[in-house]
Amino acid sequence: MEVSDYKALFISEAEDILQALEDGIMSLEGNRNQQPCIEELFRHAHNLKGMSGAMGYDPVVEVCHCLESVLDRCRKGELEITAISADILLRTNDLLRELVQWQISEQEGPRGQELLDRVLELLLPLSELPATGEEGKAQDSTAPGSESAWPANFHSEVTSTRVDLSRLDFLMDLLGELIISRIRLGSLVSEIGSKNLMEELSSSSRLISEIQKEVMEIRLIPVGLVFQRFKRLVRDVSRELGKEVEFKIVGEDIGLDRTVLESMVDPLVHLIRNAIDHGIEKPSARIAAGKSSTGRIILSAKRERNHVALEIADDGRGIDFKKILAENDSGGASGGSPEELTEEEICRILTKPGFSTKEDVSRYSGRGIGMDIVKKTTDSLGGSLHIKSGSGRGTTITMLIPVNLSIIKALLFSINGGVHVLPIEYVQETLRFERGVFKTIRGREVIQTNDGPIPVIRVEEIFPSPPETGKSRFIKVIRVKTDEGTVALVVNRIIGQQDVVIKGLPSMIRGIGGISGATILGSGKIAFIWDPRVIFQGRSTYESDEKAVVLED
Amino acid sequence: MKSRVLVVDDAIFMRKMISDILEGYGMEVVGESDTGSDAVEKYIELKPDLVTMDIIMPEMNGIDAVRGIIAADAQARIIMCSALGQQALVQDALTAGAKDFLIKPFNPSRVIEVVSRVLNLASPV
Repeated sequence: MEVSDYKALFISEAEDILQALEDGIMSLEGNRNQQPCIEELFRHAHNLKGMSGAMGYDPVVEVCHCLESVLDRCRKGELEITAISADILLRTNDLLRELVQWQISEQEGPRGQELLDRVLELLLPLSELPATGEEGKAQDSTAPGSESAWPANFHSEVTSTRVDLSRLDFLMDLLGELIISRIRLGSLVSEIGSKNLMEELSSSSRLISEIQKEVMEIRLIPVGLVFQRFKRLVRDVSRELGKEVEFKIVGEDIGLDRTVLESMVDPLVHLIRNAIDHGIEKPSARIAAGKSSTGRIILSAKRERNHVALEIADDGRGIDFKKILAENDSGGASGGSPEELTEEEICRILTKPGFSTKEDVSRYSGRGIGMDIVKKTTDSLGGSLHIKSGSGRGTTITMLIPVNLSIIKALLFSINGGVHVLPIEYVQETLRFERGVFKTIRGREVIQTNDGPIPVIRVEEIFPSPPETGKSRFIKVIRVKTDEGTVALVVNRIIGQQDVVIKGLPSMIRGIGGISGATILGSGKIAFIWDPRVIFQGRSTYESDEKAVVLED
Repeated sequence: MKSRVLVVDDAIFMRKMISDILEGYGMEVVGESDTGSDAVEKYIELKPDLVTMDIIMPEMNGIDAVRGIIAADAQARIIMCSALGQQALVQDALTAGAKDFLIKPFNPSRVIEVVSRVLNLASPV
């Protein structure tokens, strides 16, 4: 084995160690019995040193060695961990993390040395090591058995095995191919029409969906892995803003697809910063309002069938809707009275690009970007955003995110001989109308439903295609609902519901509005997956003040 | 017959590295432990021919683990794995009954040399 063969293992374990170091340093503050924590920190630094030595990452070895010396002094009681030294250790850990990343990305250039210099500048004054970089002669002394004032999860039993994520991705790809092959086999079998074949195929289909469910679950990683990082964020931001915040995490074990979880990091960072900056009041203001001086932010995850609800709740001052309405003359359809705003209207106003309630742009929030990005991210993942807030009563923001993105339930339909795919969550119902029931209101075709008229969309409006030629008696319609409203899409044929495997689009057509991906059909042909939010944007509204005029079809 | 080895280290990375070296030399890694206390239990359960033992570990360190293993089997063959600068600890481990030591990062030929030497020590009668 070459050293490079151990790189993936190094990366994953180094990441765990760096996180454990960060958590450990934070738990030092305000902890009376620091000794066990220091032992653990020492052990982590020592392990990272050993691994880095094996990989030939000398700068990391040097920093870890220095960190060990500092921790050794703490252990011997020569150095006390105060808020200031905890800060230094945290900054050290940040730089160490960057240095590790620099090493594993195998970059050239002065950045490595620069990082090394910066971290040594921080640590050397604490470590009593010679500053010349001469091999430290500090004697590592033994780590006596540690008491368990340390959080129990540091010693949790090893009942799992590590699998390289790329192998799971590969497994998922293979499964996708298997599902596609199953669909194709299905269409061949129905051509032949053999009952035995049909039965055998349906039992293998059941097995495939079992495997699919299992593989999808395996791909999930606990949200706690990401949530833990936010402890540090809350600590740093609240400190800088002079606020007292108690941060609680709930539902750490809930699993979410790795790619989904990664893309949720930025929105969560934004929401947490918002909660501290805009939500939680200064201690004096909280006392004046009859609350405890320490604010509370709860970050939670909850599984709700195929979705995970990620929620950030604070007990701060809440959103001042009067002020928002005054400054963003975009009152709700209900006439603009703050009491009458519906949740959707609140959400729409808050997520308008450029929206901000903050008079002064602080370092942390209030730059007028943010909520719209949060909304965009949840949208792009096929999720939804919900905001609840009351003046003085705090704010709760919930993001409902699908657990899995690679395989979705979808409705297949055909237009002009081509097959198209619509994610099932946008489909309200499929309908069949006799010709001639459409009306035209102000040049807009609509169809009457129990909930009032909804606009009719014909495919020619969306992309160039020959007008429909068939003159069958009935017209088939899919009723599609997005955040914006409802439309009735006219199609030739409704094929049915099935699981589809989402394939990414090649770069030259990626980013085309309205198409979120593609899938391979049983016939081997490719079908595009529609993003109705984009395709039907601006088409779901109509002028209702005009008299309806019946149009001959 | 293949020599059976128990690999003890709290870092997966290190366990993998030394296991690969030993397996490459035709030995069988029969167990892995990431704490000293688990190492003592596994030793009693697996009765391996050889143990490679890290020093700094949670729950029970490598030196106490050596004491625990030697108490159960005075003939146990244990090799300490330490970093540079841990001479004092290695000395303690040798006093406690470890047979030899290796310095990390591992040099495969040095590992094999030490392991062969320890395995060739006179077998208990």
